[in-house]
Amino acid sequence: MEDYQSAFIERHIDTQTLSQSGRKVAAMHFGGVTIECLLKAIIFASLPRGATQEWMTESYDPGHTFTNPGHSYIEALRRHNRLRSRIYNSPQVRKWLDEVENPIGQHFINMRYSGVEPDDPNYKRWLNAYQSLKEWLLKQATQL
Amino acid sequence: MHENWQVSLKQHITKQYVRNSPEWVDLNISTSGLLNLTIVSDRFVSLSRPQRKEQISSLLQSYVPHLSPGFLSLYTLQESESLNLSPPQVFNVASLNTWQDLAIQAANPQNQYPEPQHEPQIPRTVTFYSFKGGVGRTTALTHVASILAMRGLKVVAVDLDLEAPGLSTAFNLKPQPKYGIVDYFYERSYLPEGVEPSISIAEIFGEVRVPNATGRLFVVPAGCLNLDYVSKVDDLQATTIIDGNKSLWSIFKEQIKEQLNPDILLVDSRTGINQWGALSLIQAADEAIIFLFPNEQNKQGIELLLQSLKSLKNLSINFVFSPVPDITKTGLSKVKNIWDSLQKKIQTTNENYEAEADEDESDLDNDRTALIEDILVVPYLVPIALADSYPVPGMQDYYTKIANLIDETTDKLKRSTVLSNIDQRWKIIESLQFPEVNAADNRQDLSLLFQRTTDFERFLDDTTCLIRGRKGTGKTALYWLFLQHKTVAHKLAHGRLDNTIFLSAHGRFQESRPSRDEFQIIHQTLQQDGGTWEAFWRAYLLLRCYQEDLFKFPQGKKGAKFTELKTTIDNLPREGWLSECTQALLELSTNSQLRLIVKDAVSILLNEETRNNSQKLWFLYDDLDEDFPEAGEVRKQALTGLFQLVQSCDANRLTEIRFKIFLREDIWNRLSFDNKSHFTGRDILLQWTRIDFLRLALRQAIQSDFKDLVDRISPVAVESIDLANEDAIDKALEILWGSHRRGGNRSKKVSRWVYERLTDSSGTTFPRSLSILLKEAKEQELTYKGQSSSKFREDRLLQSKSLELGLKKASEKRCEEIKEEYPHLINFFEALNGKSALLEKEQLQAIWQNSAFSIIENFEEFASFLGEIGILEWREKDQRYKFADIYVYGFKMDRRGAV
Repeated sequence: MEDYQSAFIERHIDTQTLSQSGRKVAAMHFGGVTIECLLKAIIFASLPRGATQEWMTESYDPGHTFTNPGHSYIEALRRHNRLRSRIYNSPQVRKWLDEVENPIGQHFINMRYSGVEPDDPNYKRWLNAYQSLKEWLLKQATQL
Repeated sequence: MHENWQVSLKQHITKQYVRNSPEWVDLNISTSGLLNLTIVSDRFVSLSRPQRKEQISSLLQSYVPHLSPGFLSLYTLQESESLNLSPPQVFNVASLNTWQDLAIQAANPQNQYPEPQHEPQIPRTVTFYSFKGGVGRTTALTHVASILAMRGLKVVAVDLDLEAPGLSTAFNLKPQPKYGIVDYFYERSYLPEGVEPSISIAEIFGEVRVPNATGRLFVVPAGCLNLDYVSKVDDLQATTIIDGNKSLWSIFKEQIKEQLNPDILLVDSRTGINQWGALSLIQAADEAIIFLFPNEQNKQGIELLLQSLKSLKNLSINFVFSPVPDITKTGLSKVKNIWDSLQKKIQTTNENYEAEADEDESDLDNDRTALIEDILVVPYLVPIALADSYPVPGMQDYYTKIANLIDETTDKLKRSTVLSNIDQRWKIIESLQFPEVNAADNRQDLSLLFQRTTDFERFLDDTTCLIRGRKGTGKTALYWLFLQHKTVAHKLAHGRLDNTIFLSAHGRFQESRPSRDEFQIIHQTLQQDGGTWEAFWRAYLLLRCYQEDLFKFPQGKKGAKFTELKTTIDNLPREGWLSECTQALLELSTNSQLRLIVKDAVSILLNEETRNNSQKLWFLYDDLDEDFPEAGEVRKQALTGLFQLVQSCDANRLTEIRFKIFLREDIWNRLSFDNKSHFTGRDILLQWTRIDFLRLALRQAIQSDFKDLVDRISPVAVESIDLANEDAIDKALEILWGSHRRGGNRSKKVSRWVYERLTDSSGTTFPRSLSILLKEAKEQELTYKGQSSSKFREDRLLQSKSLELGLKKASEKRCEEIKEEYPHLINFFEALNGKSALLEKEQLQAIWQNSAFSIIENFEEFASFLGEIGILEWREKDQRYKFADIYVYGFKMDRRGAV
């Protein structure tokens, strides 16, 4: 049983730790993962009671039809109409989402291969986007 | 009715997990039915996430097995801090927002929250609601909105029928605004903190052009009807809280007020029982107009609604039956039945204003026919059914009553606001004057005080020579108007009387005049010496004209034939009436030669002369009832003679001299003489219709500081009182005495109450009684000064109770007057003390036997006489005699059971 919510908390703490320690690239990478986990947690929270909280695969039928969206936010949002609608209707949130998914132009998953630390203004922008997005998502999570 | 499971679940969880104050619990049920739960508690500290989930899941399973758990956030205090989570602000615990809130409250009146102090909302929100769709709610709204805009209001119509929108289509709103309220709500619901919304209030409304409107009409549509709309509307919650303590509606209202400052908001509500209906009715509405088709489904639905709405004390509710397919009597009786049934449900919620021990039924509009007319009905109208957009020209009238309803409340609130300044209020009451119009008093400024009735024009008419009327209806005032206040009279006549000279041919205006004794003697002498009353009056007339220098005897040849006549009257005293005058007249009416000469004198010296001067002469006769009091030969002969004089003048085509004879109605009725029909159509009955009456009331009241109030609220200039229509006068008077007697829908209009109480059973209304009533009411009202105002109706100066006491005084006065008028009935009047105002035939007979048998020996005649003079009337329905209210109090009769 996937527990994306726990993962979210853990990654959130990781991201925080990295950020506070000045490890910017790593923070961006883990930040992206944190949000990914949160999105997935939200998707699983919307599943009907009978369904198992696992992704559907070719060989496994968990009682719903969502396959793992991987690291793509867009794919994740495709599995939650309401949330997607809310995000798309808020230009500001979309900006944040973009920023977190692709900090300094690279997808967050690939940040781990990056060796160049971002400069302060860029980092600050990312951090603000990350925190705002996380806060907003958590709020939405309770009203979806 | 079990308790709200949400509350109990939350309580249970709180009990288990919240020990210290920073810990908190939030429970949120989404519209998709998911139970989202957030618990921040250090009870989780030692537990792993799966363990926490395990705990909660089993709790939820046992409590709400039917619900799917949604997002479960189970954090320790530290975790929550790091996530920057904060508990949601508690939004007004005691407020009612949903149907469930209402239902629980209604089922638990013992737990009712104290109603917060109700501030009159500005702008007011009127919600148009229906239980089922297709009954014409939106249609009505479009028509009412344009009527109100035409009347000068700034109206904003809002489409809150979010799940079935159509208002902008109904209005044919062009161009459509970019956004609608759904976009507005949606953005604000999910706006991140610290971010400004991009959809401004100015982008969500459009304006409708209403031709000839002095106001304006704006429409806030639900949104552009497209897939985006569908997606958004499905993800909105009516109970969303924004910025901690604001609701969607409150934010919208705040911003629309700032942008447009509308006078009124009209909301097109969602039908049935759902969250948007709740928002429209429960959260937003100050007033609700509920539409229903007259059938069982609708009736039951509305009755269900009323059970819940009971808790909303500050919501005023009105019903409109629409569309009614059959508006004949049979169709409307079905409407009335449903109406009665609904009223019963509402009755229990009526506020207890002035809960008097003698809860007066006369204050309720019990009159059956009036009630059916007062039920708001919109018939099935084919043009409306076929129209694609509204309003449909020519169909406005069907919706006027609904607009009036709204206007009425606006006015009432306006009055309350203005009158709520306590000191002002007492100052104005103190300044109120209700002087009895005493036309004989030349100190009174009659131009301000005199109220012409709608008969006035007919009075001015040349052919009108007889003015009949009951005592106290203003005959003498008219008489005095023309004699004492000529300029005013001319002004009132708008130039028609510029060349007319007015003369008191007989009446109090003369310093002294022949009266009872003289007339007795005259009568005897005339009989003895073969004279006629007609001749007497003619001679009297001539003498009066001579006394007033209205003609001169010609000199020379022309004057020759008048010499004897001249000698007779030449040396008579001009001022005052002495026996010489009577003698002279007797001479002129018995001497056959002189009689003919007098006739010529009138014809030539008066009529021709007047014509040559392009003038007219009016001869006014008053006080005839006083000078010929007893029915009998003298009165009969004398008055007949007078009318014969008039006939004769008409026959001789003396067109420049006109008679205006003021005579008591019942005396005229008892006169009979040949050719009495000559006067049909040449007479008027002086009557005060309701509008005359109201004009009088306003005219009097406005002679004080009250005028300022009227100017502020419902201006009617003194000069325009005669031109203003009944509505305008009524509105102005509402400031004085309010619009309805008591709270609630069935209460009688005050203006109607006053008019009916001061009208006797023959339909005569007594203007003098009005002054007395109002004066006394003012005195009464002043005794309340300094007392606590909890029971006061703040929307008026004079309370209902004060008016009642005023009525008592007016009644006492009227009774005194009628005793003077008919002194032979005094015993009968006194015998009425303590008797019921609604008497059976036998009971009245008994009283008559004991007190009036000797006066009129036939009971039927007696009863009919009483009816004629307005004391009572026969009520076929009750098979009883009903005494007029205006006498009931003064004669100390028992009002119970007599409505």
